[in-house]
Amino acid sequence: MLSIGQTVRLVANPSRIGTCTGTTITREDPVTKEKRLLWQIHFFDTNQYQYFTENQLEVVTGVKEHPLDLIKKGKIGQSRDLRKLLTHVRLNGRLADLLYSMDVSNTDYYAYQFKPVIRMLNSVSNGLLIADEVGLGKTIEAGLIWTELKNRYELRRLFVLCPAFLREKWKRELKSRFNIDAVIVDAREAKTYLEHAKHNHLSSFAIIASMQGLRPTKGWDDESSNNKRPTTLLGKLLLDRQNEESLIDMLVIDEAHYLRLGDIKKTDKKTSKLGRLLRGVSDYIVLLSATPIHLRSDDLYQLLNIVDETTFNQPNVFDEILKANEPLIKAREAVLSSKMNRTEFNELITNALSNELLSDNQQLRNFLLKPPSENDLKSFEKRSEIASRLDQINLLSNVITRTRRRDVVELKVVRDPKLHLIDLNSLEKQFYDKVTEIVRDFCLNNYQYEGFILTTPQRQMSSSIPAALYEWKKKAVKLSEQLYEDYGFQGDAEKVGPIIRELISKIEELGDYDELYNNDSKYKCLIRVIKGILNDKKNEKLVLFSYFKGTLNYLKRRLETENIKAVLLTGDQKKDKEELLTDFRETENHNILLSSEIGSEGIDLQFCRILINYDLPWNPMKIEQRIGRIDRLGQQADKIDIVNLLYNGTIDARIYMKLHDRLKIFNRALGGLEPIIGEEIQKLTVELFTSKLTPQQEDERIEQTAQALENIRNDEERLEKEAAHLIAYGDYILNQVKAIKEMNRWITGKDIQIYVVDYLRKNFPGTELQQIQEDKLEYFIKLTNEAKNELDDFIKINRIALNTRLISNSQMPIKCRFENKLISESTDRAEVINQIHPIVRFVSKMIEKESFPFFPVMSIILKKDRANLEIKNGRYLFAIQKWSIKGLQDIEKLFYVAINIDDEKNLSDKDSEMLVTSAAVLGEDWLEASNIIDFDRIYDLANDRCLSIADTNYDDFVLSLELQNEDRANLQLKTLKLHLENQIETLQEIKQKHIAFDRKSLVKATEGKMQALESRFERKTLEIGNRKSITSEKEEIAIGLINLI
Amino acid sequence: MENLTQFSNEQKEKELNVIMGLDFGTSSSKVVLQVPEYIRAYPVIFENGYPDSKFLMPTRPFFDKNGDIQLASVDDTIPLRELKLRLLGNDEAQLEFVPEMELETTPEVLTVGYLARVIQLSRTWFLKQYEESYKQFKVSWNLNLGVPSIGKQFNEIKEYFMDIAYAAWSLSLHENITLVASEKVCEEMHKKSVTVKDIASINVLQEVIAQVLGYAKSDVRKEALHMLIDIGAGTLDISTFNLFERERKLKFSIFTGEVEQLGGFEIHKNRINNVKTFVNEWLSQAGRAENPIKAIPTVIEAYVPNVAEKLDIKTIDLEFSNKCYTAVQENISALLKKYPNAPEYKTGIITFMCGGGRNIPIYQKVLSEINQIANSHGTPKVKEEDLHKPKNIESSIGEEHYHRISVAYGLSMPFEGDFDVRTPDEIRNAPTPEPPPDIRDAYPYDDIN
Repeated sequence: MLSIGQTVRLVANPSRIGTCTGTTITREDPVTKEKRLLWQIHFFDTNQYQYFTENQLEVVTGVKEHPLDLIKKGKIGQSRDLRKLLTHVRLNGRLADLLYSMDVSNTDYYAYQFKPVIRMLNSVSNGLLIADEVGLGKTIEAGLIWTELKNRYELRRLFVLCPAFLREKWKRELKSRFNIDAVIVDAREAKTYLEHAKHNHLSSFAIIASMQGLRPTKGWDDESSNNKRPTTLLGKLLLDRQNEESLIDMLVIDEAHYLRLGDIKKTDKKTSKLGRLLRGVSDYIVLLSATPIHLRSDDLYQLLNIVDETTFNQPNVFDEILKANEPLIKAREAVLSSKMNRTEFNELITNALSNELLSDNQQLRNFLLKPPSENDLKSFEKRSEIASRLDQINLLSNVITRTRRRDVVELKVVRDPKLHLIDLNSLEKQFYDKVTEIVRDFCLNNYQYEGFILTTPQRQMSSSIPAALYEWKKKAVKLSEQLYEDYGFQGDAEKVGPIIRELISKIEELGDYDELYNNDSKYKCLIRVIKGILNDKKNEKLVLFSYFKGTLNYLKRRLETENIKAVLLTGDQKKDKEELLTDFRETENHNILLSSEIGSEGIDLQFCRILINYDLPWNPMKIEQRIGRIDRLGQQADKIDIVNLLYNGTIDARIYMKLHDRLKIFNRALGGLEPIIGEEIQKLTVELFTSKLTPQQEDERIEQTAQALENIRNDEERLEKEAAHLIAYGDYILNQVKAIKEMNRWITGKDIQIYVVDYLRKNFPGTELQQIQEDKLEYFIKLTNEAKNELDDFIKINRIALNTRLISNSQMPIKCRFENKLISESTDRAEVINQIHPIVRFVSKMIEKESFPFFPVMSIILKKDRANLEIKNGRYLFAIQKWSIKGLQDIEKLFYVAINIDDEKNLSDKDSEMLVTSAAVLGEDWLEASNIIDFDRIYDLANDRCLSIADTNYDDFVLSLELQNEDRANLQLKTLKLHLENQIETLQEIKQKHIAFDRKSLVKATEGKMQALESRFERKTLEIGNRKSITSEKEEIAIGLINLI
Repeated sequence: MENLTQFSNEQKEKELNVIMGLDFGTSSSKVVLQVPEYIRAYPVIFENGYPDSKFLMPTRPFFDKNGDIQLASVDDTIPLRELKLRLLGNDEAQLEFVPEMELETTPEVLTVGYLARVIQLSRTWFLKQYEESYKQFKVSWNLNLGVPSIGKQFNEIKEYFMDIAYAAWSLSLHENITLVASEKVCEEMHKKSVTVKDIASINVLQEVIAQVLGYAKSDVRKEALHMLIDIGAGTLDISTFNLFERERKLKFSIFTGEVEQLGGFEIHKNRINNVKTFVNEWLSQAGRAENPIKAIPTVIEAYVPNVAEKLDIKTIDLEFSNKCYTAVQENISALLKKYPNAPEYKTGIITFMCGGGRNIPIYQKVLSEINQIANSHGTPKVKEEDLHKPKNIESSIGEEHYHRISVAYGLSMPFEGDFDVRTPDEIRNAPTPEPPPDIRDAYPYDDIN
């Protein structure tokens, strides 16, 4: 006799499970005229109530049944369960071979942008330097890493540190691409956020701060000082929290080369200190810098020292690392080229282990304990795997990632430069000479200042004579941005005040504005060029760059008088950038975008193929950045035109001929010279303006710089080549990314829909789930009060920062769309339910608690033409094992194995996975299986073959993770110890000082601090020690049959 | 002997329910078989169905020389049409003549015979088509037959249709279905002594409910006021109902349900009638000679004055369309009396147009006219929606044809005990609001006055 609330399933189809509601009806048997009792069952899969007789039902005991047992009994469920099951494991956020950041952000897919994500996941130190060349989207890569880690480890606190002028760009990009509402903060606000995090580990934030704004001032760490500046207080907070529970989950430092110490500038030292302090309170760190990677570079050392202080602990460490890596590289190369036998392999490993840096590497030791067999060394798959394991050990492989433009297939565009040399007319020449003289005199007399800043007015004039004059007269010149646009540096703009005043005082001598306006040779040349282009193609879109906003404003005013519509983009406009851009792109007669580099930062101009440089920054890097705006991913044209306008016979022309042209910057991407170039150009500028040089001397001086840059470039090329060889640049990571994409290893909106809708129906009957249109994943959802309360509690307890209208008290159903995107592709007001939506996390947590959420055996029919598989047709048996490893990081992996039932041959791991995941998504129930398959044989095959293959692979996987975990733990312990020693040493010094000055109370306080530090160290050591050895378990989560037809 | 109800004669332990939803239509019948355990529905494909729509079995039996009832023509025999209408005319005495057999019989006997054949063919089709999928089971058959009316008449004919269903099932188990056997089973039927076997349940259900049952049990169902307009060949069926779920039961409140002779074929009839009237009128005047002084006309229109005006197809159809409009509006008026303040009047009563004639522009126009009036007069609006094909239908029948099998699909659903229906007779008009009380009644003291 059934009873109310009992869980039952259908005898004829055991995957259909439901609860007995207790309601019964009687039905007259038409044959016997007897009354038969039917029980109402609430089925979970359809949310429907159906009646069955008792003999058509069986009670589910709640005891989890192993899929093998179910197979033995011939009990088969639905394909839908497989999909839900996979979604559930995927949503859990721990899968090693799945990217949670794939296909969710508002970015185009480029495989290389996921390279850093994988590097970070493999990183032992939880840190990474992204050193991609410009124009490849480092910001996006950082965003993807955050998305990935946030999903996996529920990170909550993101901190972006960048130069001041990039803050807005970060804010915009985070919002538009990742739907992150980041806040720009100053030192005081940053401190408030971090203080809050200190007291509440569940607090969330995404904040952006400038290096300039947070840098601590001199003497900030002086204990006796009563300095209450926000930067000082922030510095003290950070210092106090070193090695404690972290305050920041992920720290991103953009333009990270500002952190280096090698420079003479004090500001850099302070920035470096700030970076290190922040690193000390952050779990993960991502440094972004286009720094070239070669291993003689001190800059690189400085950056890696922040990423992984323990390994990169002294400047000459690279030499040692190179030595240590050598046998690993050799082994990897040999393994990949299949020219090695077992003995040679073992020799190289022994050799590698003899190096002190790797002597206690467990993963390496394991190669000796369990060396690959001769067969392994012949199999392609195994060889790749060994190579990847060797890369994992390589000390440089997971701290740096670098992609060069030349490696990105999508970026092969020809650059076609056209130079227009404009002769100055007499009026202009007079003006030009006069201003140059004033500037030069000023520079000569003020050499002690940052000379290059004083050249600003000269540079403005080089851009446009009438515009410069106009702006000086207005006395409204904003210089800091211009300095960045022209030189790539920021300087103290205040210092230009006197020289501008000097110019203004002599303005009458310089020339008449109206006359200069009417006789503007450069403008006339521009108009000829533009009209020529528009005559050929009326709707052509041009981008014109200038480093001087005055010029852009001047051109806008003037072009309009000629009926040429221009859109101005300098970053000063009140209108939203995207709006301006849409206006430019979509309005037919808007032909010209007048932009500064900052103005165009973060927006896509790939739809233009002609770029006009109305002026040319001296720093080739800045030119490269302009070109990079259109020569970037998504440029459809094969060739882009670069039109350069220059006054003939001026310093600019000489710079162009001797420097720019020689370095071929207009023909090909500059490559990795970025930070060095700035310095060289700065030196050159100062010299050109602080000494009275003849044109010939100027030429020589410029050539000198060009030569220097070329030498550097050649060196860089050579060193980078060497580094590329020594650092694991192997393509295997890209292959890994491509495999994830190809194998659908991510979560779709449909997956989430089935998962959530089925759960709500099953557990919260009465929830309104009304699909708006059959083929769309849009629903009107109204949760029951019970569901609302539970979800609300879940959100509160877990302090989930995301809002949902589903818990509102409104009686109106909420329009929702299941779409796994951080930013919806639609603009309607529907609430997007993606993988991080509270309801999804709630459902996932609740299902986790259930003992038997999905029926683990299924038979599926899959039509090959729907799945695009290169697997031969036939009937397959598959098994999926879930491997769970708990250590310093919790990792799960799904292992798929599939065997052809007829010839009993097993598919490769990859094909097995492809087959099963395709069947989950595209397959239908294969009802006939029960009648044509011999289940006793299937049981044996599953047990003896499938699961034993899985078990063997499991052992290998666990071992490799065990060793990796141990290596990771050892490194963390070393780092911790190093920190302790450093801090104790500092505190010792402080203590000595206090003793010397007889400040007894301070001596005691310092001693207290030392004790606290040591006890923290012990606690932390213990914690790492506990997780040094891993725990692991495996579980067969599904076994089934697939008929591929 | 071949087993007529099972995959084989072998004994099976596990049972599998198969519900046969049988829509006995005026011009064609449809059958959908549903397996509730696997939530799958299979529309039966008839070898002798309409050539381009094999799921439609014409409702017209044939007889062969042996007196066997067939669904296809044998030796150019004449089919017996309009079976359902004749049955519903339901006068037992109303005899039919079966020319081949040269004998007289009743529409009832013919209907039972016809349905028995349809049942038999559907069963055989299933057992053959799905042998590999389900042969491990013992099939537990269930039969649900549609009943064409609601309200009072439903209760009157419900029992009769139940008897027909029993009789038809019983007869379907004969290998040869003959007129004689059908007559015999009908006789038993009247004596209430029909015996059946190999069946777990027999039920009947109103067609109008069956039609929306698939929708009512789907995710896209809305708990709201609905109107169903079924445009058949002869009739236009209009019904309005409210649909909601309370305590795990679907509740249908059917407010109105009217059948009008305004089906698709009636458009032709109406045009022909108009032509006839015109011609008669004209003939009555055509004999008169023209004035001989006048010139002989050069165009024939001179002899048929106002032909273009009087025989304008638009004008003729307009008249028909007005009738349809009135029929719908009358339903709405009756609905307003029973349910005066439905929120859907502003947003639009969700309206399904079904049946073979639903794409005829005349009917489409009716809905837009109702909304035009609604906009200017504040009367209830309508909002047309499609009845979508449920996902569990295993067939290549296109989305656009689903409405043709929607009744059979609804009948094939396991609906027992699933819903309550209140018919139009059970729903009384809402009381007319009382006039506001006289304020003096509230304050019966003189000082107020």
